[in-house]
Amino acid sequence: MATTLKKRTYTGAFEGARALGRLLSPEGFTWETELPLRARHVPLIIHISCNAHYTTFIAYIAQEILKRLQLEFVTLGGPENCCGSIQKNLGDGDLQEEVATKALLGFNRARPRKVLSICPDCDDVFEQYPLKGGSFVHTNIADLFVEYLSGLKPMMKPVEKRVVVHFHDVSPSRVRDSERVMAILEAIPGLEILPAKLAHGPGIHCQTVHPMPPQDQAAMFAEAKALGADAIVVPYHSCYRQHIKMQLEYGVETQHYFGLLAMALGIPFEEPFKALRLTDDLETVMGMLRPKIATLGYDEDTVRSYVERAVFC
Amino acid sequence: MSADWVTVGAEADFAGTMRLFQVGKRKIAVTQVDGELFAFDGLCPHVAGPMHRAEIVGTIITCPFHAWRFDLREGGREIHGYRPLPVYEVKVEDGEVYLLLGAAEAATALESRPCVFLAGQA
Repeated sequence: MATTLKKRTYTGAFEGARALGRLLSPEGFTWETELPLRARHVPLIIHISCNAHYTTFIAYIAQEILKRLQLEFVTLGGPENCCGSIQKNLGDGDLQEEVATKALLGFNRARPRKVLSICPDCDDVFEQYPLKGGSFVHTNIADLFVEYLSGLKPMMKPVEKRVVVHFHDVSPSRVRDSERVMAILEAIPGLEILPAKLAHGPGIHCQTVHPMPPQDQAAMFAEAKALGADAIVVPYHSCYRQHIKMQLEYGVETQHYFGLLAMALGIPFEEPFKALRLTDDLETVMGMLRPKIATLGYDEDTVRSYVERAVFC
Repeated sequence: MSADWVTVGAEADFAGTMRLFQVGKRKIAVTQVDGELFAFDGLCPHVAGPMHRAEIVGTIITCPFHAWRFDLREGGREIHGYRPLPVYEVKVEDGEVYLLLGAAEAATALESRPCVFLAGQA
């Protein structure tokens, strides 16, 4: 029988995002999967991309900040808003444009001013397929917080931490993101940004399939430790996932810049992904998730396969 | 509207394949799972993803656009509770495969590709 077997699958990628998104989200945190055809106008859309569902605390913090700024927004997530990079990665590159366009058309239902993504892959893919007649600019979420930085500054309290800032600069978009992240961090009172030389990340972001080489990752953390850093601050959810484990060896925490922004603004938040990863043990993780797995009605072995791939990447 | 049986080819041509047909204005995909034939809309009811490129685990097929997942044995029920995938009755007579459709229209074969069968993770 002529059949095709694939190692990585849509089923695994998307169902993993669906399940872990629910299992690892803060209590009460929600997102929409699609807007109605005649949606009311909403000026801002927070876009949670597929793999960003593993670290929804980032989108949660974004929601809380937008509430404090009294900005109206809607959060869209789930595979239903995929940019098409998953299709390309799974060998169906010819589907990418159509998937991206479907997502952009979905955003446009609310006629937003800005669509704010968390993932740089989404930024790059959507940039390739601009929506004719679309009402919005698609941009990395850092853009909005720089736009509103003058409004945020008076709300900030000191964060007494010494940090190294990890960055990517492979393209003008990544350089722009790095500049924006730095502008946000420099606005946080009390935060000391250390002069590291080895915090440069490869490519678009630290992906599971193209991670920072282990020797470079180790050098970055060794330098941070030597500088007396409390944390390495990362710009992307993917870098966050890749580097958390290094705390076990170097004692230097990995923090997404939204985490520091939340601390400065007095927004309480939890980091479930980090808590799981730092156990460094799959069965301990499964034990921690078991009550919620039962509540949500998932199959434990299926969730285990998602956790193995997503948490212990 | 009267229902009519429309032939889509010899049963032997469906082994291990996902075949796509144009029947009137509709695209219809046909595949064989564990020796049983299933016919269903070639476009996902979500946003028209190409169902003939779906992954298959048992009788659950997953759209490659956004992983809406349909159980062919349960009338195309979407397992997350979204809209179902229309499915069509299939019969085999004298080695020929027939689909029960709304009106008699000729079926034109569009594409045939190997099935993407997955083990586990249903």
